[in-house]
Amino acid sequence: MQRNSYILIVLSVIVLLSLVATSGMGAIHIGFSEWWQILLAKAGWVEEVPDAQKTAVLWVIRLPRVITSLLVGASLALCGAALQGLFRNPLADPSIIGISAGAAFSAALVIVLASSLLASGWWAGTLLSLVTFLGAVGSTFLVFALARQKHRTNVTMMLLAGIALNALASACTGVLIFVADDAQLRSITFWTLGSLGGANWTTVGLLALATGLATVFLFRLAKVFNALTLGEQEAKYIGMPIERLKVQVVILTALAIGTAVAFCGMIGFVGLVVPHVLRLIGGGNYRFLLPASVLAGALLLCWADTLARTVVAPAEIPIGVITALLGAPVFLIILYRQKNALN
Amino acid sequence: MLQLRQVDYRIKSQDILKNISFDTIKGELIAVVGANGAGKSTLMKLISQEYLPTQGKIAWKGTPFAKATIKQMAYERAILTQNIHMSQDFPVEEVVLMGRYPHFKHRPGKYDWEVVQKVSEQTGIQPLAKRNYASLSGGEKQRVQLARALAQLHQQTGTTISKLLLLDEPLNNLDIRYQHRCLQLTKGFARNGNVVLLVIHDLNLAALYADKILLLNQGQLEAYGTPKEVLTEQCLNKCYQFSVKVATHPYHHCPVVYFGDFDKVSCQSSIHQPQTII
Repeated sequence: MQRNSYILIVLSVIVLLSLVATSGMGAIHIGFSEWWQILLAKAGWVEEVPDAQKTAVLWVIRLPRVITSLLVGASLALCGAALQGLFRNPLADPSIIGISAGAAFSAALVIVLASSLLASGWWAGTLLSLVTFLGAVGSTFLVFALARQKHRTNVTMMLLAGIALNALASACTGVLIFVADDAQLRSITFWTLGSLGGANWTTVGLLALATGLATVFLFRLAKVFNALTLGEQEAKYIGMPIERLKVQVVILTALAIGTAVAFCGMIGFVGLVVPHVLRLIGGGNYRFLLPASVLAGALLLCWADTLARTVVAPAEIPIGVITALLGAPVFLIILYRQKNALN
Repeated sequence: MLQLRQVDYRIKSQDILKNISFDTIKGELIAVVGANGAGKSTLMKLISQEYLPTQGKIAWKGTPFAKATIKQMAYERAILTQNIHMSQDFPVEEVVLMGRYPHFKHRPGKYDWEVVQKVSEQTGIQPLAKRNYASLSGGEKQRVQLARALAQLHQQTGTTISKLLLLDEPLNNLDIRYQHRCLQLTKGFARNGNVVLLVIHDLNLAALYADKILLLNQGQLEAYGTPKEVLTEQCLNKCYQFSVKVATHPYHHCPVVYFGDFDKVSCQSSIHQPQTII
């Protein structure tokens, strides 16, 4: 436990340093001291006005984007850990309860059917986000409703309903892709690979709210998640509110991931890999796993997004590609080392 | 303490348990015995509130189960089921600490760790405390789970709230020494003003340690009483459909049960004799 506390402290420090470092990176470099000057000037604590262009770049573009990446990464990893706990399966991730499929379908629907509307107004992005959010939340609750019986939630049923709904939504998305023209197709592809390009202070605010709620409430359930590893019935025998946990996990995941997906598209791999790697490093205790997932998820997505926007600048690589390219080898190396350790 | 009144449990009009009624007294260790499929585990699940009785009433200290929440019951009742599979690995001490989960909010207190220490000593798992649960042998895992159940019901000296411990085949995978240690430990626990119900297959161990034996036969309560009252040749013959002789233990004077085909001289036929395989 001592060691895990150190890991959490070190991770927190790295996250803060990364926030400063990555928001300074890009076509216009902003050094550490400049970064502080701009921030202090914005806060009104210093009179001296720093370079106007740099201020605009940092304040309007970089900071919202980096904070968005931290929040989305935290959400994805946290909800991944929570769902892995709920399903008692290390392979669970937010796509398993139908969130991604519902979001992808509704996004494709907007892109294909309302493309003329999308091109016409400023509210087009808002429409896409709103419909995607509703699609994500709606499909999750549909899966949840199917798994409810007599005030209880059947987790196996939820898993199966999630798989079935995923298949259905993917098929419907396939139909939309079939009727889409080239430009729409490109939009859909980019959306499914994710991007943080649309970040601004409004999205930061909404994401912070959703991530904050999920973090506060899920952290309080750490003990219940631990107990759940014994089995659902055993956890009830030690008085844990398992049914309440299920409802809370589904609602919070739908909210946090729904918001993340609505603004940033689908970003895979983070929810699956981050908790898994942390479990290998620090063990499965949720008192460690949940906060560590928040920090490590934030860290992974922050650096993934920095790579996405700097490697082929001024163009951008879809972030989903980076998370997989970055996450998968790390995951494989850890698995390989674990295999050797077992031998 | 624990009270069952005309409890029936039916699945699709098939009787699993029928008309079960019994009472337990403070301080008793009760062994639940019976052939496979007699309804032992079902009975335990009814008392665990995992199943609801189709008919009849189950009450603990006069309060019907229907009125107690699972959280309230967790303070007074611990349950050790068969074959616990942990979906994730934990250090042994954290698994034992899970027994203390009803007693603290977010973080365990000093007293909780003291309890973990104490029950670990009692069950002989202290040297394993830092090991990972997944790396343990079957018998060691069983002892860890027993320690967890004991940690859940542990109470500070001076307090006397009677508690109920339910163990479904707790001796699985344990060697002879720990089978006895486990029964001594649970009997000691019962004697402190608690009630212990355990499912057991070894009738001789039941005779040695149990205050009362509850014999189930095809979903019905065949006999309930002291080992001498219950472990009779007639009763056991009926329940197990197998030849049985009951003698008296030379040292403890409790019944000793021998199963076997007593018409033949030895169960171990000679290896050289050709046998007809049916």
